[in-house]
Amino acid sequence: MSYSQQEIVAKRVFARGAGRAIPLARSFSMGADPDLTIGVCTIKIVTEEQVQAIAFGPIDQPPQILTRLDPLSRDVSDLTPFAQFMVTTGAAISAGANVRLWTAHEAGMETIDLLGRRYVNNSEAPQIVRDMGRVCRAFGAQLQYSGQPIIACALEQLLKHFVSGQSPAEDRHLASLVTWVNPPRGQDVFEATSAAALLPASGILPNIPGRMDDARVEVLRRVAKNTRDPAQRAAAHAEMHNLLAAAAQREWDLMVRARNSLLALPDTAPADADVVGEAQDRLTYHLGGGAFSVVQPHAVSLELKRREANDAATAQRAWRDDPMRRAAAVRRGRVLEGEILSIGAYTRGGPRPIMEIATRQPIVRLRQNDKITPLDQTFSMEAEVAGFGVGRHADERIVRVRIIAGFKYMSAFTIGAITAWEGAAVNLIIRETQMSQHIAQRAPWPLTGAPPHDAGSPIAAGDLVAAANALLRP
Amino acid sequence: MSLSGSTLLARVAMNPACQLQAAMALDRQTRTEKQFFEAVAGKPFTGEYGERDSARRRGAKFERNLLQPPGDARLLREAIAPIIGVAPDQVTLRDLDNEAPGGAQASRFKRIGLTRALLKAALVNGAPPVHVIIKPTLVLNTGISPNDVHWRYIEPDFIFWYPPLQCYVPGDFKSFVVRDGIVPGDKLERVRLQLACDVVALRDEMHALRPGLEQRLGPTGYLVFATPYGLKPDTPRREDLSGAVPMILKAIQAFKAHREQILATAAGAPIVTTAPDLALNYQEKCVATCILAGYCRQRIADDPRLLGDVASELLGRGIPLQRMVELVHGAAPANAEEARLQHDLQAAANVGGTRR
Repeated sequence: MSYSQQEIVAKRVFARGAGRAIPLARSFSMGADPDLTIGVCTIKIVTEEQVQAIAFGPIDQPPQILTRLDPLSRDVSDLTPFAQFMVTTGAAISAGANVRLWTAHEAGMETIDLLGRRYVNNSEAPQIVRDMGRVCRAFGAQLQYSGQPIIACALEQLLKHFVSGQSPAEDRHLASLVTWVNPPRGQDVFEATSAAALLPASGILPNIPGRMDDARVEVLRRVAKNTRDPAQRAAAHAEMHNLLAAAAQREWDLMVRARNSLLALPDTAPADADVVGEAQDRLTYHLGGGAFSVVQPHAVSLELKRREANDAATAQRAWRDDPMRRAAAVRRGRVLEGEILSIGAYTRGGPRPIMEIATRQPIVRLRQNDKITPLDQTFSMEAEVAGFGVGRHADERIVRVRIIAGFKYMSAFTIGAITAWEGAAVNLIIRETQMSQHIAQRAPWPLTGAPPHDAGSPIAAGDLVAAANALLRP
Repeated sequence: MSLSGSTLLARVAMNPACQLQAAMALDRQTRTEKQFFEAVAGKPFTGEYGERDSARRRGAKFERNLLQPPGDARLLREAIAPIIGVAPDQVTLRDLDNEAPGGAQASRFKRIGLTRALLKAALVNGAPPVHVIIKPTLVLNTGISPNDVHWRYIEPDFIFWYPPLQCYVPGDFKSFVVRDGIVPGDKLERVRLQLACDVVALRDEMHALRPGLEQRLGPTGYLVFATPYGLKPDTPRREDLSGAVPMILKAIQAFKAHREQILATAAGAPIVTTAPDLALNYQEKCVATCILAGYCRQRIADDPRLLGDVASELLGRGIPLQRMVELVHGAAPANAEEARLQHDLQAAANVGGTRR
């Protein structure tokens, strides 16, 4: 997150007084929805983790609602309508469509993923359900990648983009948080939130005094199973369907309200094409080849490296695209922002020019020799931190930046102008063959095998500080 | 929610400073949690309470499946055999719930006797240990009156002979579904504390057999979760309870101290009447774990704790929350401390702006 704990707490105090949640960003970080945007909301049986109702369909239309009258049965043909929908969606993705799947919360997405795991290789399930399993698993696998633009979990996205005037624990109730983000007119937000939070919003049926729906469905299920009276069975089924459908519709409505609030953030634009392309490639790969958990040590190392690079790139994109996040990143030292005091001249064959930047930000998370690039520029330039100095004022410091590439663009900078720099962009195009070789050549002992042979390079006698300084580049 | 045995101690361990929670536990013999809430809050509890039928059914089914057929427990033997280091059909087993079934006091005492006999045979007499003991009953040495028995009986789902330690180690069945071996953290905290209770109670029993014997049992236990596929058990997970065991020991001490104070305050009157005089320790997790959360929130109506644990730590308790709200929105500070707070709050709140 771009903001510090202190900033979030202060904003919470502010929001409490304002009577509504305040935004943490000016744009929805996932970008606008693509053409193929679907929603899936599930109602599960608690601890069984079995789906008993699903609301699904294109996000901008009323959902189709499927209720399962005997979800623990081995006969899963009742999932066919949902299975058909998912398989059709999977085919569209494989044909090149950009997709986004909205769900109410990550717990809902886990239910979808679990549905996939249960049926992808289940020989007793109809083929269409097994194919659905493959699609659900492929979607489920995307959640592991931060900044991915495909799976939008409404609750988690709201938490990233807004801060309310209640506690974080209370924020985890989707209906409660949605109420803070869009409080009803003319009603005290605390009263509205209390009312909204009475029913669960976590993909389960309510079970509170006056709304013991979960217990009622259990009773109806037993009645339907045990009765020989067709009319009684039909009545039990009808009541079950109504209770389950109402719960699924409620989850869907909350998801849509959250989505609308996110897309209404004023600077929301289409998602970064590179990010979308990479995510779609990954999803297509998982659709075709299956989504499996990596377990071999080298594959785990590679996957961790990939995700680390992805996390860093996601963080950088966030403050590049959004002024609110940029301000937080400056304050936390992730972005260097300041006034240009001087710019050295560039001569071919001469020393690399130095730019002096005066900054008053409280933290600068840069070290000597760190590679940095300018923000807000369309050209490519690379620099490194050459050193630090005392500023003109007590709260100011000078950062000396040595330009090392892109000299022809130096005229874009003028003395007195404000400039912003960040750590050099993470290269997301990881050369996998080179990575694999690198990992394979490393001693495997951290995960398997014997410890490496100690090459035994002795520490040189004498001044350790001098020895360390000698290792630094001039 | 049960207030007996390891469940109660796990709850206290999660909030050892809260006297109100301890009072509710002490009053267990007189009234249920819902009745306690109604007595202190003056209104019925309108939230969800208790275990859902589906959860209870699932837990029972999972356990039954592991222990079928009775006295044989094939799936459990297959799961535990690799840890013990023998073939599944060579795992010896005693099912004490089968031999002395039920929750009646007489059955419980019988199971205590059987458990102690099996422990003594293996740990003191050197007899070949019974590899798995299902539903043993242990007694936690609380150091207070034996009349407070409702939370002294600790009943792990099973204990099994663990050759590396040359003693028994506790295990619990949990029917949560795990994927890729990952259990959600919010579910792990409480089950680890319950398992830690099992360790403390087992150590007490070992100490009673011979002082020093309990040193063999480190802070470790096993959990058996479910796979996504029906009722199949996942590979038993070894849990490091180095943090959880001290929390339970601290919870026992805290409960004893609270008990003394509560009984002194009550001075013979019903325990529930002491509620307004007791210290409460409202935390963010109380919202999800304690029936009294709503009552406590009303009692701390103007406290920064309402904004969560992090806010409580950062903002302190010197200035009421409503006053902080007024200051951040521009009210004139009354003194230097308020002025400083206003400056800091506004500077932090304004990072990035506050408007839509």
